[in-house]
Amino acid sequence: MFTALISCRLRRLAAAAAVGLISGLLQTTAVSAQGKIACPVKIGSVRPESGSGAAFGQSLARGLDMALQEINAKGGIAGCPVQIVAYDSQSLPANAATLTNRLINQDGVSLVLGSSISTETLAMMEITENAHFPLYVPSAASAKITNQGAKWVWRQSVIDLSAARLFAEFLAKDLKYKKLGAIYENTDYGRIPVQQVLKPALENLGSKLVAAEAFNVGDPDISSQLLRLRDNGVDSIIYWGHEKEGALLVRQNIQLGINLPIAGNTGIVYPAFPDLLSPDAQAKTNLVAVTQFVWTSKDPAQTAWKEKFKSRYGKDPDVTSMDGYDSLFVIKKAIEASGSLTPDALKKAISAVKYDGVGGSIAFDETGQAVRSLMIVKLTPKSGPGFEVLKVVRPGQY
Amino acid sequence: MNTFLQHLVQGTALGATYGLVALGYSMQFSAMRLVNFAHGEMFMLGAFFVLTLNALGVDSYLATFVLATIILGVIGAGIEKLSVRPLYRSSDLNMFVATIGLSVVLRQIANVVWGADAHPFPQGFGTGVINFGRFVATQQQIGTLAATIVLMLAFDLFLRRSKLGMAMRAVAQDDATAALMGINVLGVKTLVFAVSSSLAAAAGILFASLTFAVFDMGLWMGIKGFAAATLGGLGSLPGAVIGGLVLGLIEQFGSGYISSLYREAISLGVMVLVLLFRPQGILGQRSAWGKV
Repeated sequence: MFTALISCRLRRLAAAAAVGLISGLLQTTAVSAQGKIACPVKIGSVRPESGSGAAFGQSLARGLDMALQEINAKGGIAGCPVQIVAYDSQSLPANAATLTNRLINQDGVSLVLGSSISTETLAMMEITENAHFPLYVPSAASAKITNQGAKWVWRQSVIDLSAARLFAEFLAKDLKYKKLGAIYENTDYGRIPVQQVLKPALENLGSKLVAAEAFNVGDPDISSQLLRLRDNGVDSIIYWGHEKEGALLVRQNIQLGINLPIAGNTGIVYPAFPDLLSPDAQAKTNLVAVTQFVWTSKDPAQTAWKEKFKSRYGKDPDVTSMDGYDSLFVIKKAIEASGSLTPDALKKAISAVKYDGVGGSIAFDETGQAVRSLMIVKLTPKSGPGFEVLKVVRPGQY
Repeated sequence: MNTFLQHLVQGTALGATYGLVALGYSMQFSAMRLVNFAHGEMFMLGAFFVLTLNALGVDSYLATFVLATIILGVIGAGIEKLSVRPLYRSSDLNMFVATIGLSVVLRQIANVVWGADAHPFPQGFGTGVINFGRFVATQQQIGTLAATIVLMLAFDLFLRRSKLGMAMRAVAQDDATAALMGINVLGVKTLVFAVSSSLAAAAGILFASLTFAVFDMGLWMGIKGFAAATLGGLGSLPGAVIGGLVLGLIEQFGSGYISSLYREAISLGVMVLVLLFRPQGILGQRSAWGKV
């Protein structure tokens, strides 16, 4: 019996060894054509798919998913299939940091994609900077991501502060707004662009931000802020926040008979925003916004992609999905240029990459910030819900 | 003065929905010593069932309103039977923690089923605006107030006149004695859960009509409804309504006249102050159900 037990164990060992050997063989055969990259190429992604930021996380996930399928259908990266190891941060920065650790140390990914919420991405940077590990941020707004000297981060979307600077100029010079009032989300996302950029920039241009009112995420009512601006005698409203409260603002602006023109940030240029407004409210509102991408633009280079996205996910793409989609192709190009997956090789390759994506050209400056074009759009009731493009501003012109 | 009156309208409409949510907290607290943190999710689900009914082709606001509140009543009863009743014999703390877990699960289900985007919601009382000279009120705001008053009066009548209502009051007052009197205490507790869930659903529908529906709308409302119930006196039904209105008005006037940065901080700060000087809340507890 004793010997039987031993032989049983031996057999198991032998089986295990065989499996190991075979998988080892498979591994060696699965090295890419260039001979340096071990297949599959594993990329980590942390995004909020539940909690308060879920809408943005899901948008990012859709863009990445579409790119992943297309890349794998055409032979992957450098001949290797790509695998995205994705985790839901539940909109909690502490989770995002923990999951980043897990991606690097347990899952063995070659690169981590940043979250669509800036606070989460900043928490992730604490890990990646210490580990000297590449963190590629498809879409997050906070200036802090790239302006604090981080060495291992690249951000593809536009910094909110650059957008604010361009927008201040447009509002003061083109629209000639003189006495503006701001209504902003009471977070870094809303507060910093308004207080640090719009206020001084408008004053330099001869206009004035006479009042700035805040609201909290999820507030069910913006009327008290609106009434305060009205009592201050402003001629227009700057809105800096997300689409839900933005839609409330537009609605209450009409209902209360205030009817001031509104100028908003990229947070309202999402398909959900006009969806929340009645056709009547859209027709009665004079609203412009600054953004990087809009799903209703007439750009022929984007049409096929937008249709494909809509048929696959049943909804229009937003800026976060677009950046998510482009990001995987940027990474593909960088990896194929370097022919290696080591952090140092990736760092060099991403810093040097130039890619023309759905959302325009992408190239990085020395801080890891992508230089992108921006556009000013106007809410239009003409051809269904959406925005028309008023003006496109190329990099270097803002 | 114009601005003052306008704040009054906005704050009252919002406060009315807080009051409806607070009613459920107070009922559940006095009938089963339970602070149900999944209550906000009943509020959210009420709104989403209206959207689902719309998608199924039921267009009348009234019909969807009634159907959704009934559906949520049934769901509430089911939740009580499955996840609260087994814990009656354990400590209050266990029930409390169970409802926190339940709230997370329900919110996540809503995220998966209906998605994370905000959904536009039918403004069932009309999209028009009525001009009163110095201030304006939307038809939806007036409808919300009217519906809240009707619901509260109907509920009051039910508690005072119907046998079931009397049984609920008896259980709230003293469930051991109620049991001795031949009242099916467990059944009544299920009913309390069902009715309070229906009221929360009604509040959710009215609230979403003023704003929109989003899967995590129950999170803040759960906290504010509880704050309103505590402010009015946890366990007191008129207290819950008053607490809701007071909270809505303080929020509106606080952000309008003091600072919009501190909307919640001001309203919840006032609540803390009131409780410091009057720990039993504005109207005190329990007694206000009325002796049977």
